[in-house]
This record gives sequence, structure tokens and C-alpha cells, in this order.
Amino acid sequence: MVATLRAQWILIALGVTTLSLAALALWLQNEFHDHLEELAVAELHHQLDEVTAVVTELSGGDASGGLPQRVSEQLGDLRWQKPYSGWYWQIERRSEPRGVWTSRSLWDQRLPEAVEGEEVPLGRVHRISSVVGPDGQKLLVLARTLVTEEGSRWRVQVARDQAQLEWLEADFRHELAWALTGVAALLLAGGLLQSYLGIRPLQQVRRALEAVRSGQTEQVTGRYPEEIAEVVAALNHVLATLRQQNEAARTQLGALAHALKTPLAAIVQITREGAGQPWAMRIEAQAELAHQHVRHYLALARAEASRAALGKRANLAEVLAKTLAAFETIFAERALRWERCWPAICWVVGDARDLIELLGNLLENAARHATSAVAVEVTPETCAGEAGWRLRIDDDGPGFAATASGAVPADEANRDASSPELLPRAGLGMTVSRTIVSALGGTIVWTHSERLGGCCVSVWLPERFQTRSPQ
Amino acid sequence: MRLLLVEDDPELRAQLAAELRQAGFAADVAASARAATAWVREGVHDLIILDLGLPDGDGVALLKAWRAEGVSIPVLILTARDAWFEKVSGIEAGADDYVTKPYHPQELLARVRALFRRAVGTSNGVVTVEGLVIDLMAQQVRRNGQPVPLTAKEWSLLEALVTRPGRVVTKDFLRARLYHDGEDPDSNTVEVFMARLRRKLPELHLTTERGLGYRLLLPRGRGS
Repeated sequence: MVATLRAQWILIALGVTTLSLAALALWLQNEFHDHLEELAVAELHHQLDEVTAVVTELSGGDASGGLPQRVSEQLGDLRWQKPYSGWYWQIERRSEPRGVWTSRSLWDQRLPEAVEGEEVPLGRVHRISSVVGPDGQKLLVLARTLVTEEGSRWRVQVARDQAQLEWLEADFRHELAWALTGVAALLLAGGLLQSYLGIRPLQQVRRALEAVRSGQTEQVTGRYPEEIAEVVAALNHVLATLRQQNEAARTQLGALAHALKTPLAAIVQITREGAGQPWAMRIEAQAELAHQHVRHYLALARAEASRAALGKRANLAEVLAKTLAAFETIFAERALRWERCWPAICWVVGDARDLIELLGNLLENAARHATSAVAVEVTPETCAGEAGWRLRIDDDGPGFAATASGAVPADEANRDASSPELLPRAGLGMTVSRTIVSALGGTIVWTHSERLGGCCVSVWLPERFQTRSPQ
Repeated sequence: MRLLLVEDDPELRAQLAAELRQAGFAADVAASARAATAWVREGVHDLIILDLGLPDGDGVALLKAWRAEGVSIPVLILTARDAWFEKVSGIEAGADDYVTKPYHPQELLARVRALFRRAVGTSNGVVTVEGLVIDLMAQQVRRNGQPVPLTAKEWSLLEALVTRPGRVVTKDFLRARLYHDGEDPDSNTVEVFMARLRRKLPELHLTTERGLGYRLLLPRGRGS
């Protein structure tokens, strides 16, 4: 399996080009070979006719010693006279008295039997290739058998060395190889260009999606070819739908909280009227239990919803400012000293509401346990090569017993959801915080506060969404 | 102290109103945003307890509208919405405190009293004027350690003035505050009660703003 589309395209183009050109080369070679052979045969056929004309002369007993010379001149080519030139003729009387007349080029040789063991049918020209001739030559032979008027049987053969044809074929192959190599290079260059042009819109989409993922844009932007534009439109539709679903889910969570908690509150109030009655105590206990379950799972559901904050970023400074303002109001009676230290702009990933939920849980824990002061500090920090921000919340409370972030059992999800052991406790805020931080690709850890002596929670959040979470 | 309770759930509204009255607060109730706004425009309350999920509107939007109109009455949001972004949103809209349901009555009363104290500008709800100690939480006035007996209407009048120091409090406002349950007061009732208050508490710097109403001047650092 080839990993990249470009590699797949190039390999396919390479394969198709190679196969196509190989088939083309084979076909062209065969065609050229056949064409050459047909030309050679046509020429030999003519020469066979010329030589056959002599048979009448020989049959009439008018043969003379100058026959080879005369035939060769008649054929109009000196190669019939040059020994072993590759061009040969042979006339053979196959009835008594037997006799053989050959071209001078055959010298003291004879052409082999064109068709061994049987006669060439009368009146037909028989063609045989690769017959071994003088000097080991491979010959193309045309043979004819005829019977003259006086009844004598004759065999006439002309032959030519195939080496010349083979040389022409080799030369053609050589030329063809260069030509096809050029064509292959052009086709491959075209394929590479096509793959580049074809991949470019996909790379553009990838960059646009990266911008969405990292929070720079909310939708895939840019101009694309029609086919890709349809995919981009579908992607944007999916992104918009996801956001709408997320918003609807958040709204419904709020509505669910209201719908469940208000009657629960009424039930609790009613049972308090009957305080001291066994039934009232039991109902109140169950109502409290139900409320705590609702609170627990709604909080977790909201935290899990933060995973859908694709492409969203928020200025942590603004979120902190408004969250702390709310804390100063809600915890006004505690008269806590809130120490602030953060830059005016510190963008981090995530929906502002998720960040408020995270900060709310962390600050609430600090405010509840602090004796007199809570310090909030944000500093830039690069973690595993990713730019981000380190948020530290210190308090001067009694401190946090566990110094690791794994205070909540990992197998919590597998436990009985109605178990009282799972009821909200101090760990709910931690679980919610850890869930949100994990969804945003950050890290969180609780330690002893060196600054104020109580607990310190340290959160690192990336500036942009990462492809991997830091360890 | 007179409170306005805005809650659409009838059971909870009745329970809560009873608890508030039992704790010594005068409580009016509203079941909808429209009814609440009508009460708020009368401006007779010292504090509003506001539910967010009202049948005819969102509580946060309602609160923003009140603040935009210049309503400065302290508001405590009492709601089932317990997400932190909802709490922050509520405080940003102008709420002074935020309590989530189900609530514990004692905690809610404590938060109401604390908010009232903050609204008055004292840390413990006690105002001192020349040896006169006005305890807004205990609804009691002492002079040199001895209680000064006041009727409920006299106390209501005094509370309205003490919680609005330096500001003109109109006769109409005081009349509406004194009579809010269908009672039909005489036209000079406020003047009669004001005269009684001046007689019983001569230490107060209470001035009459002709044609407008009354103004109570408190010395700086009157809270303790």
C-alpha cells in the first residue's frame, strides 16, 4: 500500500506508460519485421520469376557455360556473382538426366533442400526462413517446382541472406528505443505535472483544514476546482452542523439542568417541611442523591462537549478577567485577596465557555480552601515544541494531599453509574478540569504551592490545536 | 427588608416566600418576567431573588434590561443552571450573587443578608449614628445599649431611608413600601409616620426635600 496519493499516481502512470510503450514497441517491431519480410519476399519472387524463365532455355538443351553470368546480368545485380554475397539462385533438374545450375555467388556450394523429404507442390511458391546456407548464413528461400513441356521436373530456388534484414530490424529497434524513451519521458513528465496540479488543490484544502483545526478560521476557505469545491462545501457544511449540534447540546444541557433541578429543589423543600418524619428523610435523601447524580453527569457532559471546540480559540486574559470578576462577586464575603499577573493577550485553544468552566472549577477549589489569598499567573511556555501558556493558580489554604493529577480512578467510567461512591465529591471539579484540559490537548497537575503555601494547580494549554498531545 | 422573589415554579415560589417571611423579610412574588418588571418599576424593593428560567423570557436578558434602565437594586440569581459560564454570564449581566438549586434555606438566607449588608455598605449590617445603633439584620434600634421600640411600619420607613443614605426618597415610594397588600392609606400617612420617627430618633439627620420627599444624611464611617 503506497502511502501518498502522489506516489500512487506516479506509480500508476509509470506502470501504464511502461506497459503501453512496451506493447507499442512489440507491435511496431512485428509490423516492421513483417513489412521487411514482405518486401524481401516480393523482390525474391520477382527474381524467382526471372530465374524460372531460364528453365525453358535449359529444358530445350540450350544451356551453356555462361548461364550463371547471363542470369546474373539479367537479374541486374552484381551480388549474384560475388561469392557468398548472400544472394543466390539455383536451378535443379530433378528428372534424368539430373543437373544443377547455380549463381556464381554460391561458388562451390549448393542450396539446401528447401523442403526436406517432400516436393514443393507444382505451381506454388514455397517460402522458408532461416535456412542455413553457405558460410553459416541464415537464408530466406523461395522455391518453385515446375514441369516443362517435355515432361522434365525442375526445382528453382532463390535465396537471400537474412542478416541484412536483421540488421535493418536491429537499426529500427535502436531508433525505436530512443523514440519511445523520449515518449516515455514526455509522458512521465506530463504525469508528474498532472500529479502536481492534481494534488495542489488537495494540499490547499489540507492547509485550510489545518487553519480550521488550529483556530485561525472557522471554515475551509479558498478557491478550488469544481470537483474539490463540492467537497469543500460539504466539509464546511459538516463543520457548521457540528458546531450547531454542539451549541444545541449545550443549550439542551442547560435546559435539562433547569428541568431536573427545579422540581428536585421543590421536593427537597417539601420534605424539609416534614422534617423528622421517616418518609421525609428517605425522600430527601433520594432527592439529594438524584440531584448529585444530575450535577455530576451534567458537569461531565459539559466537559466532554469541550472536545467539539474544533477550531476555536479564546483570549485567556479576557476569560480570566471576567471569571475573576464573577468570583470576586460570588466570594465577596470571603474578602479574599486576588493576585493577578497575566499579559493582555494570550490566545489558547478552546471555546471561551469551556475555558470559563475550567477556570471556574479550579478557582472555586482555590477560593473555597484559601485562607486569605489566591494568586493567578499566566506565562508563555513552549511544551514539546508547541507554543502555549502556563496558568498557575496558587492558594494559601491547607494544601492538596495528592500531588498527582490522577486522583480520580481510571476505571470510573466502568463503575455502576448509580453508585453513591461516584457521587460528586472534591474530585468532580478535578475530573471536569482534567477532561477539558485533555480535550484541548493540554496538561494539568496539582502540587504544593511554593508561592502561597497551599495548593497550586498548573495548567498548560497550547496556542493552537495539536496533532498529538504532549506527555 | 423588602424582597422580590421571581420564580415560575409555584411550589418552590410558595416555599421560598414562606421561608423568607419566616426569616423576617417582606417578600413579594412574581411568576413571570412581565410581572417582575412591573414590580421592579415600582422600585420598592431592597433586593431581588431572580430565577433564570422564566416562562416568558430569559432571566439574564431580563436582568440586563433592568440594569440598562438604571435599576440598581441588588439581584441574587437563584437558578438550576450551575455551569460556570452561566454563573459568569449572570454576574456580567449585573447580578450581585449567584446561588444554584437545590439550595439550603440557611445558606440562601445568609447569602441574602450578606448581599443586603454589602448593598447598604456595611460589613455587618449595622449603622451607627451618634450613639444610635441601627441593626439592619436584627431589625432593631438601640440607644446606649437600650432597645428603642419601633412599629413594623416605622421600621420599614427607617430601613428604606437608611439603605438609601444621601438620596432623596419620594413619598410615593415610601407609601408604596408601607402599604403593599391592598391597604389604602390616607394621603398624609407618610408624614405622620415620619413625624413619629423623628420624635423617637432625634439623632437622625433627616431632612424634608419640599415637593420631592425625604433625605437621610449619615456621617462617614457610620458602619461598623
